[in-house]
Order: sequence, then C-alpha cells, then structure tokens
Amino acid sequence: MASHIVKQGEHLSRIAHDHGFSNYGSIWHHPENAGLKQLRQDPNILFPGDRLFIPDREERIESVPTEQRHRFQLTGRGLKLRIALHNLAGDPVQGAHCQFIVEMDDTELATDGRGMVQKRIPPTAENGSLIIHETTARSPLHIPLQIGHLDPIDTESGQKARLNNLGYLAGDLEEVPSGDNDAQRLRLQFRSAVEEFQCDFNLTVDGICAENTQAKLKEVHGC
Amino acid sequence: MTEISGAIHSTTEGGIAAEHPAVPLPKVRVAPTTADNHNTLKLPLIPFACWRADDIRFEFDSSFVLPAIEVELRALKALLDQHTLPDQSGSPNCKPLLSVFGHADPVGKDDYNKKLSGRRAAAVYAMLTRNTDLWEDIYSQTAKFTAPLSGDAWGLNVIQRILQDLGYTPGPVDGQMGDQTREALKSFQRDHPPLRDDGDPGAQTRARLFLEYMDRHCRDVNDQPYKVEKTDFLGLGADQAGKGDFQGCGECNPVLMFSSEENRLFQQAQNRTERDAANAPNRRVVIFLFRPGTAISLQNWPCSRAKDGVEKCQKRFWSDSRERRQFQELRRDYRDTKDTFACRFYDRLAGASPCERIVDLATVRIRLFDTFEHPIPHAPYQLTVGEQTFRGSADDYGFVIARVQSVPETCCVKWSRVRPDDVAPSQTEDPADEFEFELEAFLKIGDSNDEEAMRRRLHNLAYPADLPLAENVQAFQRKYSLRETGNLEDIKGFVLKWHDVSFREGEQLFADLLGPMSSSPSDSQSLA
Repeated sequence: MASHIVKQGEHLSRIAHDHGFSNYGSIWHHPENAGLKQLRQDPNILFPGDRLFIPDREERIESVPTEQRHRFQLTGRGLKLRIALHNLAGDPVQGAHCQFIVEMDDTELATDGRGMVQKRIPPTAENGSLIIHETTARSPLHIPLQIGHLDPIDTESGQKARLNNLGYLAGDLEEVPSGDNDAQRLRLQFRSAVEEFQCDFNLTVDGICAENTQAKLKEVHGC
Repeated sequence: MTEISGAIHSTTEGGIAAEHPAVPLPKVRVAPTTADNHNTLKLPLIPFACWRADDIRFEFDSSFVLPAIEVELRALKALLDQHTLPDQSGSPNCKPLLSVFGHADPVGKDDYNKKLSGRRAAAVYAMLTRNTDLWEDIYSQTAKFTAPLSGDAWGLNVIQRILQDLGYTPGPVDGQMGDQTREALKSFQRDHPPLRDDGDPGAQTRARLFLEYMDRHCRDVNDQPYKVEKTDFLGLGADQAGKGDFQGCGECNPVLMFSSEENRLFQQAQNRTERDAANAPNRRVVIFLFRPGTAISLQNWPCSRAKDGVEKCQKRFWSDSRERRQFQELRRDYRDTKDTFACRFYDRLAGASPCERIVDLATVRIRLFDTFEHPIPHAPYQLTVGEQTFRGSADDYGFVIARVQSVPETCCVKWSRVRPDDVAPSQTEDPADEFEFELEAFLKIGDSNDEEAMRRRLHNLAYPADLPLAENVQAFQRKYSLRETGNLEDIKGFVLKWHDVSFREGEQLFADLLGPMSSSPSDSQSLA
C-alpha cells in the first residue's frame, strides 16, 4: 500500500502504468480514492498535489493446462489523444492535412468532419506535436503539445490553458511575474481572455471565471 | 516592466510603421482520454505589425487626407513589401491582410466621433485601394459606405486643394466658385479626356481628381504609385461597406486620458485650442497587419461598420469600461497604464503595438533662412536625420519640426526658397537636384557655450566648422558690421541669439540654420 502525490504532467493512466497496473480502474475506483474521484471527475485531468491511494496489486491465479499456448489479455483501456481544430470563426477545420507526432511515432492524418484528429498513445507519452500543413504556401504550423499537463477546470492554470488553446491568449502559464506591474499585466491578460470568452458565448461579462463560465469553457474546449 | 517593444521601421512627422513584438504562442496543454473527450485548438487573431497616420495628416476636424501623408504611405508600402512572402511558385503572393481603425479624441459626442473616425479610416482605405466611389460617398454624404457628417463637408475647398496640389491654379482655397477655380477645372478637364471642359466639378470630374490625387500621394520609396487590392484586407472586400476592412472606433480607445483637473481646465473656452493640441495623439488612423491567410468570419467580426452607430461597439467593452472612460485623478497614458481603451477587442489587438503608444521621440526644430537672414515660410526642404528622411514645406515661420527616434551629431538639410506661383512644379526634375541650399548641420551643440559649441553654431549659420575659427568670427563680424576683432568672446551673445533664438525650456533640440550652404562665408555674401 502506498500513496502517490500527483506532479505536473501526470495523469492516472500514466500513474497506474508506473505502478504496474494495466488498468487505472483498480486505483480510481478504490474506496480510498472516492473523494478525489468526486472532485476531479476525469482521471486524466489531475492537479499537482492531488493524493492518490495506490492499492497493493492483487495476484490473480489462473489454472490452465500445461503443454499448451495460452493468451492473456490485459483489460486496460486504450489511451487516446483527440484534438479538434477550429478556425477563427469557431468552425471545425475539415480535411486539414496534419502530422500527429507523439514520442517519435509520426502519423499522417486529415481532420474529419468535426475538425478532429486522434491517435492512440502510450500511457507514458508526455511530448507530442501537431504539424498542420495548410493549403497556403506558408510554412506548416507547428504546435507542440504537452500531454497530460492540462489542469482541472476549477483551477486558474486549467482555465488559462483552455482559454489559450481556444485562442484567447490568457497568459503564459510558465511565466513567473517579476514584480507588481508584471503581476498586474498577467491578471489583466487573464481577465481580458475571460471577458472575451464570456462575450463570445453570451455569458454575463464580468471577467470572473466562476462556475457558469467554467462549465461553458469545459464544454467548448471538450474536456 | 518586462515589456518588449517591437522593431520600429520608421517614425515620421505624421506617423509610425512598426513590428509588434513577437508573441510566442502559449504552450498547448492537452489531456489524453480513455473516453471520448477532446481538446479544441484555435489560433488567436494576432496582428504582427502596425502603421499609424497622425491627426496632422488630415484636414482639421475632417476626413480629407492631406498630401503629406505620402511620407507615411511610403513607409506602409515598405512594411507591406517586407512582409510579403513568396508562395509555392516563388511569386510574392502571400500578402499580409490589413484592417484600418480610425480613432477620435474624447471630446464631443460619441456618435459624432464614431462617424468622423469611420470616415477617416474609410478615406485612408479608399486612398490605398483607389476606391474613388468611397471618396465620392464621403464627399457627397450619400451614406453608402460611410456615415454622413455635416461637419465633415469636403465641398469645393477640397476640389480647390486638389487642383492646387496637382499644379493647377484655382486661386485661394475659399470654397467659392470664382473664375480662377472654373478655369483651373477646365484646364484639368482638358488635360484628362474624356472629361468635358465645362468647368463644373461634377461626379466624373471629381472621380478623376480624386484618382489623380491618390496616385500622386500613394507612392512607394521609388516614387512609383502603388495600390493595395481590396482582397488584401481582412474582410477581403466581401462586404460593400468594408466590414473587417475599415472601421471607426470613435472616442472609445484614446491613448491619452487627461487627469480630471486637466480636463476641468481644458473645458474653459480659452483653453480649448490647447486641449485640442494636447488631444492630438488620440486622433489617429491605425492599420494592423495580420498574417497571410488569416480567415475571419464577417458575421462574427465584432467591429461595427464605418457607417453604423456605436451600439455594437459596446458589446465588446471591458466590464469596467465606465471607469476607463472617465477622467481620473491622474493623467493616463495607454503605454503605462494600459487602461484607457474601452473596447476589449481592440485592446487585445493593440496591447503590444508600438503604434499605440505615444513614443518618446526627440524633436528637432530647425529654422530655414535665406541669404538675407530672412526666414523662409513654406520653404521646401529635405531633412535627413540618421536613416530617416523627411520632405515637405516649412511652416509659416520657416520652421521645420521633425520627430526622430534618436539625435545623431549631425543631420543633412536641403532647402530652397519658395517657387514663384507661376512656375508649376516640374514633374520630371530629379527632386534631389531641386534644392538651392544644402548643409550638414550640427544637431548636438553641447551643453556649454565653449569654443566647440560656438564653432558648431557658427557652422549651422553658414560659417563652416572646418575653417579657422578666427576667420569665421571675422567674417561674421564683417557681415553684421561689427568690429573685426576675430575674438570669439566679442560675438558670443550675438551668435547665441541668432542660433538659439527660439530655444524654449523642455524642448530637446533647436538649431536655427542660416542659409545658404557654402564653402566659405564670402560665397554666401556673394550669393546675397
């Protein structure tokens, strides 16, 4: 029995894998983790500092005849990364030619009717990139991806990341303000993004990313 | 502040062209899923460069674009060219997309300012695209593309100005249809078939006058006329009234807000001229450049058309826009406080823009004289300071005022006396050869009144610094019928008075130049 403190970039599929579980369900559905499960809802969007209870691995005994070949299949569920591309007008970009690269694995894809590309990824994948080849002659657009780094919707970093992904430029998540002016500028940038989002989706424009706005943001972003 | 400012291409007397600081796209943080969740990605709308024309490039309280805007239009073309990239076939077809924003100062009514700023934005857009219909709409107040505004009546004044500018002689700009104006119109009409020479500035004649004027002043650095296609604007010219292409922000987005005390004083009738002068930075037209291929949705474009009212703007206002638009205890400059724009959408476009700050420029003020020590009002000049070259005419008192980024040791100034009215400006002459006088003048005189500083002042007054000082002093004394002692001390006060006569506290630099440039003072006298 052990507990695990979540670090930036970790999600349950990865934590389970690191602890030798093929299926994160054994951890997630354990009664000791009920509180966290209730709080976070999505096992792949945890917050640094979250404490997970890691149960002992259960030995499972299967009796099978000797001198025969046996096939055992793990019940782990496939981990995927799904990304939808939208244009400035908010409409899906259909049929865009993309390269979807995760941990050296390079797949060529075209976005579907919902602007979506997806691929199966290993639970340990942390870095990836999406290269979009546009029809115009400009050099392709290279978007580096930080897989598993998305924080929960009720955290400021989670809100900023989603707003950034949606083109609202809410501020650099890694920037450490170097003084009051800087901090003020970052606050204003976040506020500007929240207000602009609220305005676009006909919410009350108050610059505060409270529950209603969070729910809408989660819905528009897709997780 | 950790603010990084973008590279400034050019600052001119009437504007600026600049790059925005590069905005690194934020890292994309995504969540994987074992279910069907996804992450949506959408690129932000970010302008990467900007251009601004200041209030002085427009007729006062009018949308008529003055000839001097050609300086800024040259800079715009250079900026556009630099950001035009080759396409797959290698042709330079990947052009940045433009959107024009007009601004007024926070004096008067919202509605009036929205209209005027929209008309100014439209006037610049029309000049770039050679859309004479648009100028006709502004002129005739037909409300097709712009909002009619009785205060901004171009009228016959504008016709006379254009005729004058094109080298015709319509007489004084008085808005009166006199014989001279009629003859000038006839002459223009005869020069531009198939116009009928009836002397009437009808729609066809106006269209031709507008086009000639636009062609004359919308030119590149090689003095070739250029135009911008309407498909090179953000709205791709799809909307007849220019949605996404040009718009007026009215008084919503001032770069400068007075303190409440300043505002109280400026309200008084005797201070209005000063108020209007202080408000000049707010009256401007800004163009933003967006990356090639940026596709906006016209339907979702937040800005209302130039011809529409202010209501739609308010939807995009900051939640604290009331406070932003009030005069507060302290004077606010957008560059420092970032809280003077009411429109959040515009604030997001302009936040990092070097064109939306009052740049601290040094002022170089030079007075041009002729050989009789008479200042030359309206003297045509060319002033080169560092890499910036300014051309134009001196003011009513012979002053040339240029705003420069930095002040080098010297500048090169060329100027002439004003041509007699009966000599039409030659179109073929190489403009570089047309100046009577030329001087490499000292801009840095030095703080003290030591010998070197006096030597430099004398140089600017046409006593070249490479001659022995005593010789210059004697020549100076001879010229002003002083006793020829050759002693600097004897003329110090006189030189100071001549050279620094207009010096005022707080201004960066002043140098009065006495012409002409000559190899020796005796030449200058022989010329006289």
